[in-house]
Amino acid sequence: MISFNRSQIIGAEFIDDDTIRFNGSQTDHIYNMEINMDVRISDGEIVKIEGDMKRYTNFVCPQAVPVLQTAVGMSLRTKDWDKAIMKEIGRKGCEHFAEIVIECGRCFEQALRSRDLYLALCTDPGLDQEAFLENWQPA
Amino acid sequence: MIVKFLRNKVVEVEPRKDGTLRVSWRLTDDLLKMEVNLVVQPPALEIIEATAELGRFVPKGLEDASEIIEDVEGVNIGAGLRKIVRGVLGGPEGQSLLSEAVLECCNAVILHFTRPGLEIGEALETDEERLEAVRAMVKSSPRLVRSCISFQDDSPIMKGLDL
Amino acid sequence: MIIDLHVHTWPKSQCSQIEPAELVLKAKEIGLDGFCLTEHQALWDLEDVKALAAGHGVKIFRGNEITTAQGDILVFGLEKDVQGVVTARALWKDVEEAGAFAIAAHPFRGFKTFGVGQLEMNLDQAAAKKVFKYVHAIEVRNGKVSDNDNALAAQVADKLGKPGTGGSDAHLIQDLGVHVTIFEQDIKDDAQLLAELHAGRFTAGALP
Ligand SMILES: [Zn+2]
Ligand SMILES: [Zn+2]
Repeated sequence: MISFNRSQIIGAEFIDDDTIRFNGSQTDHIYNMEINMDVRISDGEIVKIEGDMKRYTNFVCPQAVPVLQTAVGMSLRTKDWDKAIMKEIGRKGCEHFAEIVIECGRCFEQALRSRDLYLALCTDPGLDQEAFLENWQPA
Repeated sequence: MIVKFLRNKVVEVEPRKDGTLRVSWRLTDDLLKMEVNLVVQPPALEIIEATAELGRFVPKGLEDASEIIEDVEGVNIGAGLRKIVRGVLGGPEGQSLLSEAVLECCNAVILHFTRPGLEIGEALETDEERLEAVRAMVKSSPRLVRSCISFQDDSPIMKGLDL
Repeated sequence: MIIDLHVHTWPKSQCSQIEPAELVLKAKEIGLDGFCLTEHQALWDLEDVKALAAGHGVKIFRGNEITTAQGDILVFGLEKDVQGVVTARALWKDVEEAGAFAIAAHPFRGFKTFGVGQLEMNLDQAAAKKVFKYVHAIEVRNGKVSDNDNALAAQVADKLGKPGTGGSDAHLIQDLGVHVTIFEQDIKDDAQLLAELHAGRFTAGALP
């Protein structure tokens, strides 16, 4: 049988032209937590973040929730942004929160690409999708 | 609001009769479908088999992922893992997808081994006993120190712990 | 002569929080005769080391900690600038050509959340780790691992007939000197350190 399983689900809403809202959750045999975070599309800056820790391993863990606010102002477009998240949110707070924030961050460009392809297909259902993605540039 | 993008990821560890651990990692989102499978051999936690498969819109540099990933065969899950896996699979931009997937597989193996210890702690009756169990864990795992908020110097777990 | 053979400083090792200047003072304070700067894949310049040591009465030597696909290896007497992740076998070739000395660093470092003990590795399995084929010695006292991890390394060194070394692997100043290597001779420079390592005239230990 399975001895350990972890699932991550990341969803991206576009709440206005310049804001993407991620909802990320991570559930495994040991932990369960969730993040909501808004990112400004034009510069990749995290503008808002909240988290909920549902299942964890010791009584100190929930103190990592306020540490999440350090992510506000950090940009997903700076070099080694993921290392910075792991250091500031992970080591000083909770590694598993950091894992979700990082997965949201990794979805940033992919989500923009998805939205643009989806919208392009709405107006041109016969679009060459490969070619569209090949030529895709962030607006 | 309807999302314009959804990613689903799952990694699972399955101990097998021959003593190996089978790790299966899968990702699916609007644009990408990806699968990584490892076979890990205890006690050295050597990766003895690694395969990868990508589909839908495959990012540049990952067309040969199934070949590239073979380079982690022989690597042990242990000290320096991140640097080794990123070094071995590193290359053009976008390929980090593959190294990060392998690292997440390895992390799942580590959590597979972490689970029994946590279960023992959880079965303890009192808060004091549980606190002692966490402290014993810190004492036997020096790398836990300052690894997250629970193990910072001013945490109630660490206070009074002479390391 | 008591030397901490494994020390990291910032910024050459980005993971370290130790300033080179404070290291010299601390070494003197705790009674080390010397220490060896073993940054992650970076070798100190000889002149810089001389300047750092000047007037303090503490000897500073130069090594290098190389990440190989089979584990971390401390090398002494290897001037080559090794970048990226190499195999232990490839590094061994360089080491032999240069007459350098290689030590398997913390070969059994446990995980954050569990020790290697939990893997129930027997001595034969432990000794079969590939990295041991490509080193002269094994670090049997490392400051970043648990006592159990060190004990296993010591047993393996014994079994393989390889000498054991000690080093703090300090990344924080308070960790300097928690483990050391005790040399029989007084050592004045890198060349002599290399000779004493090859001669095997040392043991792993602790400060008195
Ligand atoms: Zn380091
Ligand atoms: Zn080191």
